[in-house]
Amino acid sequence: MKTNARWLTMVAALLTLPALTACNPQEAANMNAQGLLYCAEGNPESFNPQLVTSGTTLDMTAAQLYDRLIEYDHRSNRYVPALAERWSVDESGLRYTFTLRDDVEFHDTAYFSPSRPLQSEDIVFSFRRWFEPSHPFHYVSGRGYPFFTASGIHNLIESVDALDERTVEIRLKQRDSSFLANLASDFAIILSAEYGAQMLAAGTPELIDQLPIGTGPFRFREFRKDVLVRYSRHENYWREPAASEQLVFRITQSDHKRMLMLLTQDCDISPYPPARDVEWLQQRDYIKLQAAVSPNTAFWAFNTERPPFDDPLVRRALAHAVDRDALLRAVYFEHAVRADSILPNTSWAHHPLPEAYTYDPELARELLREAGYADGFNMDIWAIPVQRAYNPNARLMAERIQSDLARIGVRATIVSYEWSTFRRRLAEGLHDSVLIGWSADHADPDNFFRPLLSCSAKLSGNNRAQWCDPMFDELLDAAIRTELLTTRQNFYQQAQEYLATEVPLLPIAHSVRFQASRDFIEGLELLPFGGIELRHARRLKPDQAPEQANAKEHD
Amino acid sequence: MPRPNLYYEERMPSPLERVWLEFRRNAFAMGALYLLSFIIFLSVFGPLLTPYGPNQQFIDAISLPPAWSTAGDVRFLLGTDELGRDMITRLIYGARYSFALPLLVVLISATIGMLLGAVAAMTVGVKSSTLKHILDVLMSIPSLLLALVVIAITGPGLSNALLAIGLVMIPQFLHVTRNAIHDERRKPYVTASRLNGVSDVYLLTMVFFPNIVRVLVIQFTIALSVAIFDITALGFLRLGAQAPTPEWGSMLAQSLEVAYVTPWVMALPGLALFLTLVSVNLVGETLRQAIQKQLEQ
Amino acid sequence: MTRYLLRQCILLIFTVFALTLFTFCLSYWFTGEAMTNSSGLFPDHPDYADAFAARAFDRGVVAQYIAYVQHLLHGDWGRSLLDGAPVFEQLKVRFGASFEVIFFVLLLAWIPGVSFGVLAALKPGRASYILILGCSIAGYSVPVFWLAQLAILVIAVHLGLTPIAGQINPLYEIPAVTGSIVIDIALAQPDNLSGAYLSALQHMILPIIVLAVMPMMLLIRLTRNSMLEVLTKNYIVASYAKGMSTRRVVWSHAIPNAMQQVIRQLGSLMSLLIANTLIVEVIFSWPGIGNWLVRSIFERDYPVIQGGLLIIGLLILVSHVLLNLFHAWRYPQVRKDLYASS
Repeated sequence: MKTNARWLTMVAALLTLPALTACNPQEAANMNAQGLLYCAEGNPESFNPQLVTSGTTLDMTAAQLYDRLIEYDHRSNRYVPALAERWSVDESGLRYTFTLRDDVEFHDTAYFSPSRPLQSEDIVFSFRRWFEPSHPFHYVSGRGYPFFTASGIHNLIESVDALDERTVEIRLKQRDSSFLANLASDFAIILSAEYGAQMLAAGTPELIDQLPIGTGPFRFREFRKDVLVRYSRHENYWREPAASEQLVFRITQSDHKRMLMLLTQDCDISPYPPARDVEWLQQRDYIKLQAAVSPNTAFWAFNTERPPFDDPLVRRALAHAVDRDALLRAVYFEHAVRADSILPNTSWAHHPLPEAYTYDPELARELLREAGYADGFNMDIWAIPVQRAYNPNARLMAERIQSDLARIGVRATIVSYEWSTFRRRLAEGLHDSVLIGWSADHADPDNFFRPLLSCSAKLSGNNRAQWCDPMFDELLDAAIRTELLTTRQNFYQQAQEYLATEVPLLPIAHSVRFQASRDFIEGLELLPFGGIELRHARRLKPDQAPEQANAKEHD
Repeated sequence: MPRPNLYYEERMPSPLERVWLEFRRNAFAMGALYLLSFIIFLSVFGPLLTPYGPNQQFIDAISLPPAWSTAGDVRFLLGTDELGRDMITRLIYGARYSFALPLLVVLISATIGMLLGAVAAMTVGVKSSTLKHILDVLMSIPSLLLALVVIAITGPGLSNALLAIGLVMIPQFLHVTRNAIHDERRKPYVTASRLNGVSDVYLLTMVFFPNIVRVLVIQFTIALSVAIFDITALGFLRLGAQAPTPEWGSMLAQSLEVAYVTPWVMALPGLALFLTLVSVNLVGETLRQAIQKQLEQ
Repeated sequence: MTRYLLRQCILLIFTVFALTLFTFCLSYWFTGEAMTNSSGLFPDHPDYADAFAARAFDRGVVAQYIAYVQHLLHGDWGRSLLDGAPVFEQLKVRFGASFEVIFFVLLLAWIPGVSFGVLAALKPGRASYILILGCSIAGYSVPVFWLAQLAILVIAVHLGLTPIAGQINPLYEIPAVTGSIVIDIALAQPDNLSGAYLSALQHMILPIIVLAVMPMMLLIRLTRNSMLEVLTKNYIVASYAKGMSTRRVVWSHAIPNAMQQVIRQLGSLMSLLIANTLIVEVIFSWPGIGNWLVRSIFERDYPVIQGGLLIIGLLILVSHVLLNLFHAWRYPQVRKDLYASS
């Protein structure tokens, strides 16, 4: 054995020497110039955006695998055609008619070959899946449709019907000024009805969400949990095909690890660089840093179903106990503004109420005394384990808040799980309080209230405060019934004032969203709303001859 | 060794003295011994020496480098971390968590393990070598792995990690003690004592113990170094001591986020841990050699 | 030898029995239902009732244990509580990845370890003694997670020499069949084969070096001590007296005999190495068992914890017995020793 071992080590040493001396990863990475490496923050919960609200999953699926009927163009602030080449609304505002493009192909993969292009049947199939409980796929995957339930549009839609192969009609029960915005959101994607039928016949309906088929610029190839998600280009994409042949999401939970991976070229794109490193990254000329004002809010939600947080006095006390300006410095490194309302400052309905959330430990102690907790209490703070645009480092924020709370006699422990577990337990309402946030799916202010704090959001498990107040819901409903901007503004103002007295959550910050990439990546855009689009992104440098590396390994 | 010298009587140094002599001969070992005493001193009196609290945050002094660098501040000799906490204070407090607590745990499990081992050796007296071999092999499963399993049962946390390490160490001491007594059992001096009709307790404490103490001392130092490593490794994996606790392993884990911008925050707890482990291992090694030499004489 | 082989087999069976008994008991010690903990099926799962009967949870503990072992033998190691994926399938792939690292580390540690150890023994003296002692104590004491981070900062980030995560540049599409990237590349036969191997080596080099430090330092010391002991033996003196060259004496008499002691210690070396591998896998995002095990402890994914513990335990037990056997085969005198000692 000894001689064998020696011999093997010699071989290994010979093989490794060139790797150490001759070659560095830059060259190795360029060998596959046709691919993109994207550092993602966690495992996708599903490959169907209808089922989720987590930005991590949306980034990885919505814009890559699927398309929507219409899209929102943030430059012109208008809705633009996508799968639907045109649409119309009748006078009552209740009947929408969409005409589909005729050149949209579904993905052709190892597990499914489409026999026909996109037809209205697919739209009906996809929409009915979430609003019609009798749909064969409605209960498949058993996750519910949190976005649709939370925003209430599953109750809004009267019917979705195919008028002919290329025309779809959607009827609403009542007028809704945010309907188109919801259709343009990342969640309203179109699945293949043919694939669905095939999976149903095969007795494996749940595969529709695990081995996805869509019309998007990339098609699914492989998913290794905790390691990677691999897509390849959809050659028959109805728009210009994607610029990169391959797209790989590497799954890395820790943000510092992703930063390092960007530096060592283990990744080309790192979506949410930690705020503390933004300045440092700006100084590197091989890193491209993009920033966008994105409508988002980080907040600290209290579980209003659990005592003592069912008492608004306690919630107000906690809100006054936190020094949010210090959080902005320590966590966001000033790449954010203080949030004085749940609604971001970019929104037309923004109505700040700073005095409701000022830092005042004295007042906080007094409120606690008033509520009967003069000696404080023990509580949990759940901190999201991933970095989102709204919160680059929830754990650090939790530590800060922990020491702030200690000052008013509240003893907090910090809790965190892996992202998908975290979300599941959160939806079950097992938390005392949670540091989380929300990034807008579309530009309508309703998107900030209804999915977060309405009673229907509570049912869908998206209401982190477990807060259900009929009065608040009434305000939201009233605001959505009209197209008149001033009336809506008025209602939303009342809603924000109501939140300031009830404090189901403490708004913390609206942050700037960053995206870091290597300098040789081009065509990367940072959109203010929704997920990341990668279909234009590609490596700039031409393919470096693979022969170079060949020669090295064999010498 | 009688010598024909009437006026000068050479005194055989006592075993303890010989160990001391062995240390004196080796400058490294002496250094390690001093370092170890210093760490013990710090873990006992550390809080009296530090100017700040371990979790006291200075908002005006975030991520300061050590004082000798140009950007440093004399108030913070070894700099501050990303929350503006004084590094030197946290390191000193860390000695309690990363050194003193494992030491206590090993002491407790050593006591329990040795007692049980002695009882096992005196009562059961299993003669089968197969059992010994089975235990030998099972003992070779790394303690960290077993500690991970205990944590899986109890959940993460410093006290659970300590409990896990303690539980894992007990059978090792038990096994070593039992084997050591077992090996001595048939030796003539033991038989002689038995023939004298001494009690079991006397036999254990006065006959066996002095002769197996060297094995136990060696096992103790090994166990201590393993326990320190395991505690910090668990802290590093975020399964042991949790966030604000200045335990070296969890300090390291937290420092990773800023390691490339402020490398000292990562380097220092690791260095402290490294030096502690080196001194424990070096002291253990020197003890082992001293005892080896005594045996050879 | 046959008798010794039998003895070792019995030893293996007994230790494996103890190990499976332990992992079986874990189902009861973990919070929650034992049935769910060992099978990974929640009570609302459609197969729950069948599995309940198959795992004999309606009968006594002994029957349950037997059913548990039967399931293990059939490759049914339960399902992950998180995503319902079969544990055994994942373990196979992850074991390959972990084993690959351990294998290469031992290879990398072995050659320099033994050769420096021999050299040190041939040039005895206080300086070499102190150097060896210092290096080995340092190498043994340095916390591997700290060393790994230093290596990442200096070698990978600062000097930009190596990547820091995973087994290979993921743009090479290598399906994980065995988990060992070297074998998987050979199986996948990508277009750019040498490029793929190069990328794999670059990914492997840093974790392997970090892990190899400790065993290498220990091997140097072990070899040196054992060589020094052997060199004082009579047969060495006799060989010199016969007029054999130093080279021949060392090469064909001293080293083989010195190796006996070294091989004897390899078992405990393996245990230390495996513990370190668990941690280093987490740091380098290596898709091995350690990485998975640590994750599952956070997630309380009990079937995975049991599976991971079992397979690492098995690896250690089997390698111990194999080492014993090799030792006894190569050094027949050991067999006698082993019978004699009780």
